[in-house]
Amino acid sequence: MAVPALRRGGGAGSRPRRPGGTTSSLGRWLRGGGPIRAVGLAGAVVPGLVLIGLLVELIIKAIPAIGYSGLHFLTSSTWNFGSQYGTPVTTNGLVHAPGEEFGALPQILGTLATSAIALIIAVPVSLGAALLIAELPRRLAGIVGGFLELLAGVPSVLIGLWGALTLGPIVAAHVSPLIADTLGRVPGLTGFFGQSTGNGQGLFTSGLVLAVMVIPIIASTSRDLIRGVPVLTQEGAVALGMSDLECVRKVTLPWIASGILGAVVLGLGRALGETIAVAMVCGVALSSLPTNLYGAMITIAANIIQNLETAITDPLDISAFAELALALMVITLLTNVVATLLVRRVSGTALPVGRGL
Amino acid sequence: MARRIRLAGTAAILVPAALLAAACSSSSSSTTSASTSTSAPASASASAAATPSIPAAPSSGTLTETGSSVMFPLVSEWQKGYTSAHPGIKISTASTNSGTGITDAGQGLVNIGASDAYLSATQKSDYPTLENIPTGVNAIEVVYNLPSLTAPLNLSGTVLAQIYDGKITTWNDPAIAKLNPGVTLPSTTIVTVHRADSSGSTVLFAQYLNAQDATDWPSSLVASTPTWPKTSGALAETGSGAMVTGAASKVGSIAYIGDSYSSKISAAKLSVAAVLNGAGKYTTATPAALTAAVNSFPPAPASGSESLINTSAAAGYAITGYEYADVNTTQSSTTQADLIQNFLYWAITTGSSPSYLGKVDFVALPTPTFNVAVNLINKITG
Repeated sequence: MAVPALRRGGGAGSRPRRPGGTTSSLGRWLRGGGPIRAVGLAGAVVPGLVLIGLLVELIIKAIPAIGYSGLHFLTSSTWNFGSQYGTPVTTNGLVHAPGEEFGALPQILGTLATSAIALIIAVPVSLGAALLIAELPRRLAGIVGGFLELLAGVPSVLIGLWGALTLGPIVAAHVSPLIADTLGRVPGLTGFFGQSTGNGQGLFTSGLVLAVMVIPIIASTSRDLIRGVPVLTQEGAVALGMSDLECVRKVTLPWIASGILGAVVLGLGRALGETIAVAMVCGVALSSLPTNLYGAMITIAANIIQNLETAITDPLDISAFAELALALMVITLLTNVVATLLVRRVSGTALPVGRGL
Repeated sequence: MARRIRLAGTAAILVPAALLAAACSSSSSSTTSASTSTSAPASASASAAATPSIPAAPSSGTLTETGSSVMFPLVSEWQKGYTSAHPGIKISTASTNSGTGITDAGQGLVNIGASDAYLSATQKSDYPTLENIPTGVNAIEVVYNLPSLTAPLNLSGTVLAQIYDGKITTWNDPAIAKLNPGVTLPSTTIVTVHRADSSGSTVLFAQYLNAQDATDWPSSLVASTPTWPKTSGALAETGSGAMVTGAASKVGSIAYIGDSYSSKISAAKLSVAAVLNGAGKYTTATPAALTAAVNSFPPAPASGSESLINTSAAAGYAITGYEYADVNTTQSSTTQADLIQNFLYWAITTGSSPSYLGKVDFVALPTPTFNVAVNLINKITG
């Protein structure tokens, strides 16, 4: 406070002001705009503070479990809530059930694998849908696009219910056997696509359910992006004798590539954190990796919701859950950072036609 | 003046209730069967000695309950019966799981948490004011989906442990055949069905497996959410209802479900196995077998926490346990405490008559445990 006051009193322009003097310039900015700027600043700071607060809280809560499990957390496949009715033991000052073991590898891989399956299915479908909608007559496009947006608004628990009651049995009876009969017969792929096709609760169904939730996000964003491609450029491409496909491949898609990457990241974020729908169709296999595409599994988010009641009475279990939450947060933040870098790279190059037409 | 009238009214309600309790408890206690009809009222007055501190129900109020899906059908019946006798009272019940019952009651989110399992040492230290009040005796049935078989199968803890840890994978395994001479077993693959949520049924089932075969089912696997050994195609279901539909969805499946779901189990065309008890006999979960089992154990301790697993009574059923109402002894107000006390006392007296317990195949508390329950109910204060 004293510094700006001194400066203010320090003679008119006798001393050159530092252009980057943050405190003073921030103070000046705040004073200049009246209370609305202060409110705005407070609003702008809150999200950052919440994120930092969340991280700090999770790290503090997770420290006992990190000390207890070490690298085991990332490498082991055994998750054991311990013997609840055994004599409690004390580790690092925490009283907990004996025999607890926190190997989160199946959950971490499950989180990544379901999201990967969802994107593998959702990206081509969404792009196809978006390209088609952009070409449709305006009224029809409005109807199809409207359905897309409605689908985006369906609560995830409804999609989970549909997945458990309708999609799961169909997958178990028809889709999985079909894949096992085709892809499963290709040498080298038998292990992952062949063998026991499961009961409709597992990795594949979870991926499908997530895909259903991700498609409207990617498709509606892509549709808006495609609409933003300048007509002149597309007409130019057609004038050069390009077919529809060539026009899409060489003009439309490169033009919107960075935007699509952004849309995919949005979808990925939804898929990574989706909880209840996956919990309803994943088969809840806490301590084993699925042997193939159809096996029961679990994701970090699904475990947290499915087993919170077990964990909550045991401080070390809760600490392990905090560590899980931290892992999920790191995964989400990492994918966001990587995506931002990718978007920057893509938007910096690969544009065959000049921007700003 | 009005209070005096209400007290008198309560006394009028409680006297027949206490008599009924005595009738119930004398019918379930195997010792001194009908020898002294005068001793039953005597024991009733002994338990009635504790009753003056059971307060009358307030004229209006709300009671919330969540937890055990095994207990849910009974609590729904209690809800109907109690609210028709006390029109000003609203009771909300929810079928979740025992883990939810314990934590929600411990944290004060609900008044009563229903649980099939007694509180563990960690849970006790987490919620020092939470008491588990026995409210009835239930059983976990072992059911299977083999439409080709008509006679009920015999299954032992060892065989069940080896099925659930993946050592036995088909129904015609020699180990199962040995327990069922003369039965032609199909070669169907066994699909194990277990609870996915924090379940008291799982605790009771796991305690039984551990009691019969500690090598195949070590004590580290006795928990509400044990680390299930990997078996091919295993199904994990949330709630007792989903256990029934899950088992019904796959031929060859095996599941453990609370006996309050008996009618749904038979409607789903599932069979119930006879289970080996500690006396080496195979029994099913009939009310008589439950009574025999509970009477073979020493009286419940003052905390109410007692395992009734693997009875040594020849006629007893092996996977038996007390159903508990977990209640925080410190409630938000005296009125709320009064309501909970009145309701729970009603539940173990009027609510434990055959017209209620018969619907869910539970049996009433034996007299010593009934007295423990009354003492625990008396601890609840505002």
